[in-house]
Amino acid sequence: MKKMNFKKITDVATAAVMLAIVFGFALAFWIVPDKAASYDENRDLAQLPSANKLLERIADGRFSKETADYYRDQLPLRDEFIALKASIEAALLKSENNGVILASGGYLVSRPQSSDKGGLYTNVSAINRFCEAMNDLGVPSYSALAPRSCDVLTSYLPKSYSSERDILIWDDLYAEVSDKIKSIDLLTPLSKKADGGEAVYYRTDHHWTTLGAYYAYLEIADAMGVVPYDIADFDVIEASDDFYGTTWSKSGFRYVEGESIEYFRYSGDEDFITSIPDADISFRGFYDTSYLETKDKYGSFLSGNNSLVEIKYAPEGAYEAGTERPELLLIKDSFAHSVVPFLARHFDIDIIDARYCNFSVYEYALGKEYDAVLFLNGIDSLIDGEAYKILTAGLPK
Amino acid sequence: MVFSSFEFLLLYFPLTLLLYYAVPRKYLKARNLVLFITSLAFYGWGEPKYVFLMLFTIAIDYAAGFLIEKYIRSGRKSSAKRVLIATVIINLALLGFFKYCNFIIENIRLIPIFSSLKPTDIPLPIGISFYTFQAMSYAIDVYREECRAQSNFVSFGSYVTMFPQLIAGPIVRYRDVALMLEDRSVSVDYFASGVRRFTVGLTKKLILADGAGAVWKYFLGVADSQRGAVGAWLGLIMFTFQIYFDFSGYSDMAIGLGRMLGFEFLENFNYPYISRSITEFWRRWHISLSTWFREYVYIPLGGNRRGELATYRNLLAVWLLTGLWHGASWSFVLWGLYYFILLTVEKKFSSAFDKIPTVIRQVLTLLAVMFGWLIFEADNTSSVLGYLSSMLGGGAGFAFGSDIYDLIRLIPFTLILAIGATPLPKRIYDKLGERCSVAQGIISTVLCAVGLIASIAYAASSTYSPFLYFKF
Repeated sequence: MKKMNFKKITDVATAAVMLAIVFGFALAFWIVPDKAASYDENRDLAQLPSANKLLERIADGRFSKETADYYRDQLPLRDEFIALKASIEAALLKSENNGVILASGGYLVSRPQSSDKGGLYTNVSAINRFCEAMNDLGVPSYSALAPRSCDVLTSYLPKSYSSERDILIWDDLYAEVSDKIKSIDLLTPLSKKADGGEAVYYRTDHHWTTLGAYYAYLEIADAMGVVPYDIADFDVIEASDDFYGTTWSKSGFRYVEGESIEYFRYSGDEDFITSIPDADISFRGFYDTSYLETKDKYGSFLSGNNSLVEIKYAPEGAYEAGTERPELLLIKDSFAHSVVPFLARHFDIDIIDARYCNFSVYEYALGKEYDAVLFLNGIDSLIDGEAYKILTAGLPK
Repeated sequence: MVFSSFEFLLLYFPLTLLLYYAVPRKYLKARNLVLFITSLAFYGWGEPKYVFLMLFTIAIDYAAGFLIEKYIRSGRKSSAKRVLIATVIINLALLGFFKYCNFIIENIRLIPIFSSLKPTDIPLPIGISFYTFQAMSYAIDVYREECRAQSNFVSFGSYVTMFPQLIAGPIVRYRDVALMLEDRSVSVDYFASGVRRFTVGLTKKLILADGAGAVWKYFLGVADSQRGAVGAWLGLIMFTFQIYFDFSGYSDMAIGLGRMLGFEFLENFNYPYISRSITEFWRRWHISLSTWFREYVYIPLGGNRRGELATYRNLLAVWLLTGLWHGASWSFVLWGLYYFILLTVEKKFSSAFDKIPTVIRQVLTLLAVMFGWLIFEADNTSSVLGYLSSMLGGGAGFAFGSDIYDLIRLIPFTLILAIGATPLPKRIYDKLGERCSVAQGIISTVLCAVGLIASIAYAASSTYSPFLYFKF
């Protein structure tokens, strides 16, 4: 008899536990104020669907989609749940979460998810055609591919993880790039530095650190025939000590600690003017420190992603801007942002991000007198999408 | 709306429970009405227009049941038969139009003069394969006098639309729930057993199936020439687990939700991966579908009572249809054909197979099923033969790239999957209940809480978590 009663008690408890969780969260969902954005993910969160044209939106399914997004994004304790999932995955000894490997030294390394080459051929062929056209104008082209952290940090990855599958894409890339373009190898030197224990990539982000960017600059300068500045010429300043980057967000491993972002400053770096015509912004130096208050701290280099950025040497006083310095057209993704402060010591630079660009770069270049074109892009930008097609706009037939 | 989404767990489900239990038990018809309306809302959530299609199906089969019974009672069996045939044709025509139209057009286009035919852009109504089969079983059973016609439109409607099994089964036959539509009650222990079952299903889907699916997706995305044998096997093993935990998890959730509303659905899975033969596998896998085909196709065609040749013809018909039911594509037809061949061979040589030790038979069965899944997934695979070749080392040798790393890191997870696919956890749980029901009670309550919270964590992390069995 007593046993029967106890069975009843635990049945009541089981039912109560579920109802408490379901109804508790259902109520909390409406009581807890909605958040506008997710700091960790660096994106806006879906908001309560509007009642505007409700019937029409219900009929075509938009309303249910918006409600689903709203429920997903505004779940109470969402960040904690995401961290809990990552912890459970770690407890199952899966060594990774969401495709991000928890490597040694606290490095979070995103692993390539497929051998699909995406827009690679389209993008590289657009780059080739653009460079050949520039070549016809007598402007030489250089291309440096920024390695992914999984290419460089191989010595930090688990011993059983071989990168042989991931690095096959490099052969495809090198095979596609026109021989009219001078290729600059960054993979070998950066890998060597990483193997030697230098922090050339962020632990929590997919970008290289400023030190890594400096090493990339050494190779680029060497290839372009300018003499790079010695590392002793720079003052290393810690701009932030709590940077949590993209791989940290993606991984959900919230217990991995933040890290610092460094600026390699030099005397006279405030004599440069960075201008962003689209946003009607210009400032002295290369750093937009307002980004340091946000999640996207890497965005403080050159003020984040823009289609066009112009860097001019313009010291206050008598100097006439830009007249005697060689001019460089830099077509790049965000890897280049932390390299630009180094390159600016040698060139005035017009910087174009093909992914955000909607004008003919060739026609833009015709109005200038460039001494060189430099491509500096991460592999992922060349695989994801076909944005570099814009480079063929306006090319001579 | 899927059961693992937050709009279901935190909005639809609590609201439906509240409305349902706000109606006192003695007004069962009103509870059926609540169930009918909330189920229509559940269905209409994704594609509101198709609610009308479903209401049309309900109306047709309701009217058919009414007419068939009337004719049978007045001794006009042939009229009843005509009504039944018309109903079945209408049901199949709707299913054929919405599910197979593009497949037929694509194939007709291969004939040169029809090459300009354009495929339609009509989306597949979710669950149409499931509810059409349910509705048809009703009309047929009334004709066979297996059950009485349902006079109450709402009760019949609530049977066809009932949200727990609406979009991914199990395929519930009308006669199995007919009594429950008229009289059912929910005790606390029954409700609690529903909670346990639902939680098991949710956990299976979100933690086990989706986790295994991520590995399969990775190895599918790798080019055939870059996939070592280790990776290829690991990928296919993971898909084998994914499809089981996904689908059986969904059935668990359906059964659990049904119990919370006072319905008992028949089991749909019975540990299929421990089967000792293909015949046994199909008695343990998607039981409600095999039952349906046996009762409404195989036996009416004569089953095995009309000689050997007719038996094989009937089996062939069942398996081609079973394949096609799973999807409008030749790969599913091939998959059905594959099982027809396996079952035929098994029948022919059954005495020889019986001499093989059980464990080896289990392994062979599982391997045959795994190869079947490769055909099943053909539309997602760049090439079945390419994948198969990489399983034999013809892609990138024994192991390549991350293969060994993935193998090692997934050992604990694979063990959990493997044990979870056997009756062992259930046996331990039942043993515990015999030895000490107090401990069992406490543990099951704690596990439910943990399972629900962990499932919410997994659901929160995944912005993309589709059910595999959603195309049906």
